[in-house]
Amino acid sequence: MDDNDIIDLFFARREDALLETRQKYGRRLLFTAMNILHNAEDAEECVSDTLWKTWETIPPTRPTMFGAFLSKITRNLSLNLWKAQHAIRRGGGEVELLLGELEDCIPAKEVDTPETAYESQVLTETINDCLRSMDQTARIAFVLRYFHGESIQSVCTQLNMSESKAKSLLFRTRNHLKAYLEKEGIVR
Amino acid sequence: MNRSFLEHLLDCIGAIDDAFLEEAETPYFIYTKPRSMGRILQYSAYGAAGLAVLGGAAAAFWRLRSGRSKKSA
Repeated sequence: MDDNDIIDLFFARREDALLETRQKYGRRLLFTAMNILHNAEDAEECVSDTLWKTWETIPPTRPTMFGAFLSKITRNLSLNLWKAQHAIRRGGGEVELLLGELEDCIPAKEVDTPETAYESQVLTETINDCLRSMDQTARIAFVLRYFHGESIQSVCTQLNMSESKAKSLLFRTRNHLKAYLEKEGIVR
Repeated sequence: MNRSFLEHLLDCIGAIDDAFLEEAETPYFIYTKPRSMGRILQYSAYGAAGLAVLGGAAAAFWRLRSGRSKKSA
């Protein structure tokens, strides 16, 4: 079913909108949640919460890119759940790896806290500018790895490249991001 | 180390333009590079060589067989 038709079902408050959304995007959303949480039960819960949140948001919102809209909700819910679970215990999981990789390129100790120095919007806009300046393959690799939390193996399979090439591509994207953050004065 | 900044950065990556997400959602085969012409020619050459060997073996076998049948006749 076309995205607009599904959104129309939401607007009509028809419950099969949830079924159609799960049928079309459920698998993708579950992958994203699984990449972050590494727990099938939690991931399934996040997908269900995504559908519930979508039901609450549409209407009045009419997303122009429905897939991206859903992905963002799932990712944020999963990341929040991950943070809540890891507030007590640290270590393990793909998110730790992602943070570790970003830390390699971004000297986090040299920045001020985001709350006092930089608004989230500025940071997001800088990331958007950085992504716009990348070539398509690098951009997709970055999104797959740092948005969806895909493993390196998954990234290289999807982009049809060797693991070492994918790693070096991601390394270059991180350095590129670092340069952008430095240019904006977000990191020194 | 200011870990909260890195987590904040990860959060902000979650708010990137929808267009980038859509781009990465496009079926993966679009991004798979087609095999190079050199590789295609290489495989074609292997295939042709294989067929030639099989053809040669079949012809030799056929000749041998017909030769034997002539002698026996």
